Amino acid sequence: MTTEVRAINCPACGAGQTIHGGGRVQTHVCPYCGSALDALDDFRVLARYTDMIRPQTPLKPGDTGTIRGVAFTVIGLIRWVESYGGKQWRWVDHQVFSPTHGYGWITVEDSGHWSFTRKLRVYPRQWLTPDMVERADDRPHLWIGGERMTYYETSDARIDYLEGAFNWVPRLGDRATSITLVGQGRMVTISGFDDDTEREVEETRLLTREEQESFGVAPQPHGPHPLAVRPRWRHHGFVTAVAAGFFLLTALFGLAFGNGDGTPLAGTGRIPVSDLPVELEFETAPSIRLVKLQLYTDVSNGWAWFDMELEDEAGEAVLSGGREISYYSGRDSDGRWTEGSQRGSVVFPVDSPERYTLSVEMSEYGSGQASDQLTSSVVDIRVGGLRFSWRPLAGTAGVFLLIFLATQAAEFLRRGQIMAGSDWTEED
Amino acid sequence: MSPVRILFLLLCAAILGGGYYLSSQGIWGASAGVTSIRTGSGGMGGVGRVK
Repeated sequence: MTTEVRAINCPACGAGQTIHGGGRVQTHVCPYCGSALDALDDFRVLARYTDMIRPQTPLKPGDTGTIRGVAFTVIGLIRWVESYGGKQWRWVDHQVFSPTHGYGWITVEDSGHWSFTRKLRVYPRQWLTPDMVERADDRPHLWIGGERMTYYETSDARIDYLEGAFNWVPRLGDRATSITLVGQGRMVTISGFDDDTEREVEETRLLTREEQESFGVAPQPHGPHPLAVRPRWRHHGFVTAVAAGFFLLTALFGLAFGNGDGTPLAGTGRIPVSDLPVELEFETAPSIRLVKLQLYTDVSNGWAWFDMELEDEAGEAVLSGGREISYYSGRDSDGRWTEGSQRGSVVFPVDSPERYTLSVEMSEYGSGQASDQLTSSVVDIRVGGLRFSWRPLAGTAGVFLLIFLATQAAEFLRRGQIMAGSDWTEED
Repeated sequence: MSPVRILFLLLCAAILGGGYYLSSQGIWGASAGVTSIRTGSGGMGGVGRVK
């Protein structure tokens, strides 16, 4: 590759001009008369493009700047127009050249953002075409360079302005179809979708403020751009994984320490309701923190209210509580139905070790139609000792779940911002 | 591992440890409707640490 800068007079209009871009320049388009000259054949006139309107761009051939520490020179510019659904989008690509790093493109987007594009030598294992995009049920993806890239848009644009030197042979009116995918901080554009077109993969990143200023232009972004969205939180994966791990750990704790009905401490077995009130004596081991009282009564289409009172060894009442048990059943046009349950439970906190007396009384009862109607005949009362309360562990699991969901939601919203300008629409 | 990640891990471990401790103390274990006769308080919260 040579680094020469050539000076010529346009063979069509005679205007003197400098051709930047080294020895691989194939075409030069005169900025004065629009003649396309063959750089490989003594600047023979290939075509003449009249009535072109120069786009507004702060760059011109010969401007220089620094991108990632490498000096690049603008050698040519080309404007693309895309029309779809009555709308038009225009953008200007500036071909740039570095004697050491070859060719690339600086693009000034509609949104005022500047991006730098260069060819990649990494090809995806699978290829994607506009037809495949059309037929896809879900948003397509490609793995490129070890990164999962997400489909962003398909572009079908034509050239409507040319100026300066190019290392290929663009013609006014030429069309180009490409597919753009977006990843972490970069976009990848693929093109070449038929057998006689070379497949190309290009990577685009936004220019930094310093890089843009090195070309003598102050950054003035005034709209959204998928690459201008804040990058993924660098702790996202870690926080998500740790929160999920601790959630599972808490769930395992709950399973390991949850003791259901607890260690049996006392019980009546099935006794007639007429035996109530009853007193149950029990002793709590040092590790017991809670006492669970389970009630069963064969109440049917009625309700019963049970009062309970706990006395300590000194005979002093320390806690009281109550539980209603109601159970109704019947049959209607939808079939058999039931409501309520013949079982209920109450949990008391206790001190341990301690001896307790629990008294249980069925203080009120009734049926659906009439009060004071007894609908049950037997009761079964069991007392169990619990070593753990499930609510703190459930709350702990909830905190980890919240951290997990909040992290995922933030990433979901960020992805939504990136994809806001995508042409992909989900079909129902 | 960055200090932020270590802090986050420690915070998660502390939350889990705190949850385990509260659970093992039977905190928030009582049913609604249970009343401490001595203090008159009821509900699922600080019921029943009597004596």
